[in-house]
Amino acid sequence: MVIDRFYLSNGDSAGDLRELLSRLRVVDEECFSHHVNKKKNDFANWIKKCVKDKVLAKKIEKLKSKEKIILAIDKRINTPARVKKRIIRKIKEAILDGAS
Amino acid sequence: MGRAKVFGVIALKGGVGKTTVVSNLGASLARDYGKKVLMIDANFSTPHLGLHLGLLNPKYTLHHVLNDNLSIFEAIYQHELGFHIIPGKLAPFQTAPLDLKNKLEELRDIYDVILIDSSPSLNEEMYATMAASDELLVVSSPDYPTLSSTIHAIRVADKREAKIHGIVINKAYKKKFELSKRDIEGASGSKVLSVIPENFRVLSSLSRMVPMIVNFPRQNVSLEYRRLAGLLVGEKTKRWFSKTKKVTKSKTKKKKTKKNATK
Repeated sequence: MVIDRFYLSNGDSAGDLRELLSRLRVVDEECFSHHVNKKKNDFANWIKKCVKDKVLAKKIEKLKSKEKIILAIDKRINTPARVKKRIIRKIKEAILDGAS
Repeated sequence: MGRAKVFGVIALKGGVGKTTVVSNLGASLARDYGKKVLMIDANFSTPHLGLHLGLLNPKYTLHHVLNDNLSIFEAIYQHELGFHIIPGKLAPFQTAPLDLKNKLEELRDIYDVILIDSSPSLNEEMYATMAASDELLVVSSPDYPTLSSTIHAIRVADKREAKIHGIVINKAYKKKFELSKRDIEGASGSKVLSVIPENFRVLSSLSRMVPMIVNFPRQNVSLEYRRLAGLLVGEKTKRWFSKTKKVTKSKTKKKKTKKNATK
């Protein structure tokens, strides 16, 4: 599935939640408040319309702080099961690379 | 009594419980299944099987057998629990570990099962166990560092054409954050034969130099060791579990009847 990219006001963009999370971690307050303020929450809208994750969008809609939004996305992406799977895959890759 | 099946117990990481697994499986095979069992300490650098079984300063050891051309029969000790041990020397010296396979040939007709406690180091010591064993049991624990060692050990064994019988997961707390049996099977490509729970009584038994299955035979750890021992020799293990269930059922019945009587 191709997702419309999210373009931040600082010129960066994100094509999925993982990319958005890494952009949000380094974005400055000015850029953040351009997207999240009293009138709107661009992240929540993009997650709802493009990523089609209504649960996360609803959660983020109410949040106004960058840290809280980062935490919510992080929790959603990095579930213990997914983290486990990723680490196991990396361990296997490391051993296979070492053996070759 | 036929030709002995030789199981090598390996792990590429110290502290996962190889020696505990060997001593408990050996004791169970001898006591519960009436097998003639020999345990060999082939952890040449840090041989501690004797310390698990109360054999503190043996005169002859596997080191002497492999170094001094001493007959292997001279280094066999009869344990009071019914099995035999070939210990290692606590202050070890250089040996030729790879001769282990040839030395074992003489013993195959005497025993039903031979268990080899391997070294955790990836060198000749472990290769000796791999070469001398018919099948390997890989001891692991449900965490990432040990999983990594387990995958590596299995790869090394495959390369050396050693057959893996399965994985024994030791020290499992059965918590969500731990790796599950499925995770470990998926990552390693080998079957998990047993998940042995963590239990402080294992340390209590070690302090008495008696295997857990002898000291606390009905503890969850012991029941799992006894089940695994049965699995290795293809025998059923239901008797202990069914006995426990019957006892609990009859107890609850008694309690109920007492309550009814008081009413």
